[in-house]
Amino acid sequence: MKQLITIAYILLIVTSCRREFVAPVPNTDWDLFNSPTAVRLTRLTMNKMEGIYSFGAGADVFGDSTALKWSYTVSGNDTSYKLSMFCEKQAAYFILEGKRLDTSILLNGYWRKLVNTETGRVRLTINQVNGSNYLISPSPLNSNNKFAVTGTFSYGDAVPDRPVNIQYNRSLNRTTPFQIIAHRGGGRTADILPASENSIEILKLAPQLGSTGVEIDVRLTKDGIPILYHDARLNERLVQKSGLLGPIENYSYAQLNTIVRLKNGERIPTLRDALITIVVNTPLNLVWLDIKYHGSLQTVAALQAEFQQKANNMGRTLEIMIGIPDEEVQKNFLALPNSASIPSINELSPEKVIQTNSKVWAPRWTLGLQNEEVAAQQAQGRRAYVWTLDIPENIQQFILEGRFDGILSNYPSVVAYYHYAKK
Amino acid sequence: MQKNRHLIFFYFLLFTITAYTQEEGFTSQPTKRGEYSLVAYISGGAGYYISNRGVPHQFRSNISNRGRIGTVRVMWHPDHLLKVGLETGYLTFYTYSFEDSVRNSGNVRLSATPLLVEWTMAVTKRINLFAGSGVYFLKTHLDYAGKTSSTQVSVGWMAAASYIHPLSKDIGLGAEIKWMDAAETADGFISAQVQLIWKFIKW
Amino acid sequence: MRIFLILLVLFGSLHTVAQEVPIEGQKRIHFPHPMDTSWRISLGFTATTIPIDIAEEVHFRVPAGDIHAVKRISDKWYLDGRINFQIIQNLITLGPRWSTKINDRISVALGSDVGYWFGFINQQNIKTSGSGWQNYPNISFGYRFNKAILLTVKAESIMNFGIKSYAGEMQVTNDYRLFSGSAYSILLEQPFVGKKSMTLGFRAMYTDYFWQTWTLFESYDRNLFFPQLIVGLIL
Repeated sequence: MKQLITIAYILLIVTSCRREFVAPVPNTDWDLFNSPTAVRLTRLTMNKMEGIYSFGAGADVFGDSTALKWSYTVSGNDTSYKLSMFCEKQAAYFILEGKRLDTSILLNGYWRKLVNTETGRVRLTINQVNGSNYLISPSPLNSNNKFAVTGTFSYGDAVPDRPVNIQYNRSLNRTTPFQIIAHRGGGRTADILPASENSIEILKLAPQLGSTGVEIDVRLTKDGIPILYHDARLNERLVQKSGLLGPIENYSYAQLNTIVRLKNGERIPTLRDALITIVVNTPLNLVWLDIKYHGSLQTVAALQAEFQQKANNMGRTLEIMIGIPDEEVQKNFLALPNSASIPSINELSPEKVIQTNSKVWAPRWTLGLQNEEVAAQQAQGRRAYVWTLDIPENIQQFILEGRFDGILSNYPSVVAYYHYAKK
Repeated sequence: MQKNRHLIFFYFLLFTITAYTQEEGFTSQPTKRGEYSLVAYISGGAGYYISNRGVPHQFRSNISNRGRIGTVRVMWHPDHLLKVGLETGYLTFYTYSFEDSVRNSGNVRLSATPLLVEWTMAVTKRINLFAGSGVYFLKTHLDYAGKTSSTQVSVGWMAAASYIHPLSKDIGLGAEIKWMDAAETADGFISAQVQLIWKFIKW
Repeated sequence: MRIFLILLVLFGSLHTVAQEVPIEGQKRIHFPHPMDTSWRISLGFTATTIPIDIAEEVHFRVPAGDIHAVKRISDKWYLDGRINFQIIQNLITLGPRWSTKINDRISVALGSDVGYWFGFINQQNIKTSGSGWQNYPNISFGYRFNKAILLTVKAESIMNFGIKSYAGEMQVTNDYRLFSGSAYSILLEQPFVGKKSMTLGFRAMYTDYFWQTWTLFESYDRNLFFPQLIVGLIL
């Protein structure tokens, strides 16, 4: 009978063991920040705040230094600015809003560590004693201007009460253009970000995570509509349960749009909707269309051309490129009319890059630094991006010792940190 | 957690029923060393979908989480307590219907054909326990904006308890409570089946 | 949940009506009990499901061959050695066991297995290799049912250290905790056919680094759940 118990035990273990990881964005209400007399920061103040800072209190949690950078999203006539802090330790980042209250600058938001699920609230202040007047004044900064940011942070939804402070050191490294490319639009669903991978919502989040560009995965529905979706099948990893299973190409867009929702409740976006969002709502300047299907690229190429023109007309600095990950996609790319003039990113060998006249060569990171090969591409007027690099020590190595023009990562905040902190 | 509560209740019930059963000779117990047989279990019944509902939140719908199940199992009975075999069959996990925002209606049915390697032991003369693992061949039947079928394979588990009443030396009639779970898609199902047991080969 | 299950097992055992089958001569390999033979070997396989968070579309149950041997050293001591192999990646563990009977039904063993894993694979034409050391301090409880059915419940700590992995000539930095997690197993051993016995078991691992995932170069600092089936034929 007794045996019954053991089999019951086995099955209960089997069914009860899996733990769900969550990292909800904390409630960041702060009465002082919401004060009616608090006003928006000027662009000049925001620009002056960007730089590399050293942690005092909080270094044990976030690392020794951090890179501060502003980004924005556009929604209708409103532009909303967010200050991101990219940290060294455990892919930690902060996302903050800023306001001025009298002579102080208030920063309010949350922090998160991407390698685990730790998150919490943060409230920071730059007051007159700590140099807020240098930031608020219309004069440019000089080397004698010192300022510091002090405040508190917490874990989870607790009221911030642990001290944290950072001291300005120097400006961000902007000596060479460098692409910080977020994988899957901003990160993976398993990273438990506030939005699912390859969604409209994560594209709007990508700049706050440090990205200057995004890589998005393109598939076709049964009726030929290009959509953003990584895996070949509808599965538990990416979508909520709906009874619809199997290859996504078995379903029409109407079926997917009505019935299927991504893990965080978003619809699966069309490529058109994604490009509208990127062009109109974000400051991103690179889109890497990773083609995940084998078939005609006509529809995708048409959208690439349409939105590239739209971006140009808006005066946006934006490149939309078709990604070539394998031989079959390369064959379909070369079958396009005037393929040589279509901007592309080729992941295959340098010889294939020449065949497709790609603007970018993109090898896998496990091939190593390949400094000579990268230099050869650059000598031909091409760029080189490497993918998909997530291990912080290796990211640092590629930035400090490599010659790549960009890194594709699930942790764009880590790439941002090491790039902007580079001396 | 919802799934765990159903299972806990199921096993507690099973435990309560069998906890006071005195140990007797087993129906499926081998008579002597060196005797082997193949036994078929032909079952049919109905069940209840016990995992988190598969109906999307974004529209009201009718879900039927009761489904039919039919299975065939062949077990090899060696000369000890533990037996091994294969089971397959067909079941419907659930169906639901819905209306979209412009009142177009649709419905979804999720069915599965399991193929499982199972182990069994007789815990009393007439009560047998089964546990196994294998694959489920899942199928979506969608009728909305056209008819679509789509399939997927998922690894999964099963467990069951059956009561067999002997009709003759080689035939029995039984009832079985069974839990089946397609792990990759988190679809679980508890069913009750009537069963015909037939020891069809002996050597 | 697990505490509930353990209580269920122990409570169930109180209802047992004894039909004595001597432990001596019962073939066992996981069951924690002083050995009465010099050697015991089992051949079988383990099948581990890699969590979908890190395996993504390559989410399936990974089978590995399993050769398990125990060697008696003295009345209460024996050595436990195991090879878990998939050719391209393999794990060898070896460790002592001290075991004793608590009563006629219940016995216990303490052990600490040292493990070494290594793997070589060509990933997209890049020679990738990895190796590492592990330690599994463990405790097992055994309960002897009637009809020669042996139940083992085991808890292990999983320690990882000395992990080295290379993609081509580039060393990949692995971030992991020394105390990576823990594992809990339940195993049944009983006669199956002729004179051979069968092990059927389930191991629930919670770890932030599982050796079979070294090629994924994953970056999570989370104790993910790895369920593992254990099947073995005790010769």
